[in-house]
Amino acid sequence: MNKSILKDIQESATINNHALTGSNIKNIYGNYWICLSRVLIGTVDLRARMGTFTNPYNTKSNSLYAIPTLRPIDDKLTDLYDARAIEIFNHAKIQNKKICIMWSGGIDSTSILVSFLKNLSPRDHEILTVILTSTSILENFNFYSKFISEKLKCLHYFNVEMTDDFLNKNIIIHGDPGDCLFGPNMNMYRSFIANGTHKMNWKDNVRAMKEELNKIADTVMPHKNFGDWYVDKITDNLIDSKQDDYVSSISDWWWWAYFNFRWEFSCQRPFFYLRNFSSAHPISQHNVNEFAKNTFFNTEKFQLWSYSNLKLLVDQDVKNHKKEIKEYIFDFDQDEIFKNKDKVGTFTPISYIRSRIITPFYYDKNWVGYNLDHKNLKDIAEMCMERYKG
Amino acid sequence: MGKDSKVMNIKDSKYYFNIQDKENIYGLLNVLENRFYIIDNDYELLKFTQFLFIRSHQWYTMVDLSSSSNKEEIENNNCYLFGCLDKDIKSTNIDLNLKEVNSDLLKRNTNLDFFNHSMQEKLFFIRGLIGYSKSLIENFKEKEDNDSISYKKNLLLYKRFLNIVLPEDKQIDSFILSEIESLDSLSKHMSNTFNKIIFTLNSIDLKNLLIQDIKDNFKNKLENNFFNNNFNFNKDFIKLILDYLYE
Repeated sequence: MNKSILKDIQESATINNHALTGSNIKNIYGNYWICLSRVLIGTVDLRARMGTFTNPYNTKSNSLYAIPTLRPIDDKLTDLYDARAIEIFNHAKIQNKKICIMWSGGIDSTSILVSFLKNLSPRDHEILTVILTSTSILENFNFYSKFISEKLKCLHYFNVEMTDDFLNKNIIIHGDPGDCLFGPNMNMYRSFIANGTHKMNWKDNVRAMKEELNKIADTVMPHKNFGDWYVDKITDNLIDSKQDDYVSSISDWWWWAYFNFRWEFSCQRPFFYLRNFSSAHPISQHNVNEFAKNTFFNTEKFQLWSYSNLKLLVDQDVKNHKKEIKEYIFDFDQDEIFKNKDKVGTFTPISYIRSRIITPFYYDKNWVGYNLDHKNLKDIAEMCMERYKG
Repeated sequence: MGKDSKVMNIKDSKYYFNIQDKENIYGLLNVLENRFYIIDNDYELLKFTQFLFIRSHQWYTMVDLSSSSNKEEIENNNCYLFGCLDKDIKSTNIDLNLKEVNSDLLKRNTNLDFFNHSMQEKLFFIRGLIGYSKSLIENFKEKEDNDSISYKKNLLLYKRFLNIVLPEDKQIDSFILSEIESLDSLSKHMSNTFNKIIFTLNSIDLKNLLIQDIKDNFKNKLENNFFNNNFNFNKDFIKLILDYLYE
């Protein structure tokens, strides 16, 4: 095995496990790992920020995205939004940078845009640029027409490339990891939601949680008990992190699976998708640090708010999901339609265009990307999968 | 055939093909020998094959046999037995202008002392490779165009809609245009891929290298510096071309 490549992978910023789909791996645990991104939609890289958790490459979590010492706080979410927007604005002024907000039109990114529009004086809106696609307008037409169209500078998503040059001039702001903060995709425990049992204690329902996930995973790798493996791994980590009593319900358990494991990738998602044509050129450590520091939700306070309000995140009535953020937006835009909208998935031209591009198998610590056909990378990755002990 | 070529008939080569009709027949003629080395119905493929060998100073004249009175007799497995009439040969030389080179066929003797079997097989190999590449790209492109057409149609309608409901917005047109350009970029890239195949083959000494060496040389260029972007298509295309080369 090529040790320098393996070391590079271990120190990588992110690994695109989806790239290994279709590999012929004999080891069941290697197959579980490869199937993660197909079973748990949206999962690209999984790294535990807290507690033990083995992965095939022995990658470590980056301290720039560290989990804070978990404790309850009383802060109001709206105050955190307001303070964060002002903090980033002041930082941008000092650094003489523009603030580019990636706006999908969804709840998380709209709430962030609102925080800037609300807290900056109109003359300071000059510092803002909205990065969007035509789908963003489709997602939230009212907000676009009222607050963005002909009022804010806009830049199409396809015209953004995450390079040092771009980051030297701009602070990029995005809505990830909103799902880790405000409650994850409920599809993963949908039968509990349907029965209204998702607030029951997870410790009494481990078998049922495994079976639920086995059913979902059977569409990808039938009869392999993926759910047993995954639920055990997350549960072991939860116990090891000494959070198994505080994180008590089934929906809390899924919050932990996002909050502890997907935070790091979610925070860095813009690098993952916006380096298609520049991935041969490194990002300086200064800009890597600045990016983490300016990631809107990557603060101790936001994380502690989430930890302190677990009961609210996915309520008994799931219609209350993201209720506080929707109210924050509503206070600003008075749009009843958006406040009451349901979450729907879309397959848009952007998804289609993106689906035609090869994303590197891994990005090193300075975001230089390597495809699987680089040297003997495919062999090394497959060897890691064969040796993985789960 | 190839390196240890002892086979006298191109029909035994895996690169051999039959022509499909006698209406549009073109041939590459070695003027010095006055013998045809390959005939084809596809004008474009044969012309590119002719040009690619010129780079190594291996000259063939392109002859239009479509109006020849005795064109029924010629096939790829016997084309070496045919040449052009003397009066036509005198005016041909290495002219690239098809119009001036058409001829009735002259049946020649079977003495093949000077006939270059290895070169003939290379002509078939190169014609086969560019023909396969072309049809592969056309298939990929057809699928891509079909897949993206509804997105493009709907984007244009969406633009029209937004122009109606937000008439003052000056940015919408450029947003939609960016997306349509991105949708089109793969199709354009695919079209350009055929040009890259020709460009790459033109950088290889087709006359003096053995078929196996041409394959290895081409494979190396394909894998190392053929594409400078990362469309999934590139990976699939390279895999299929290599399967074809080394099947």
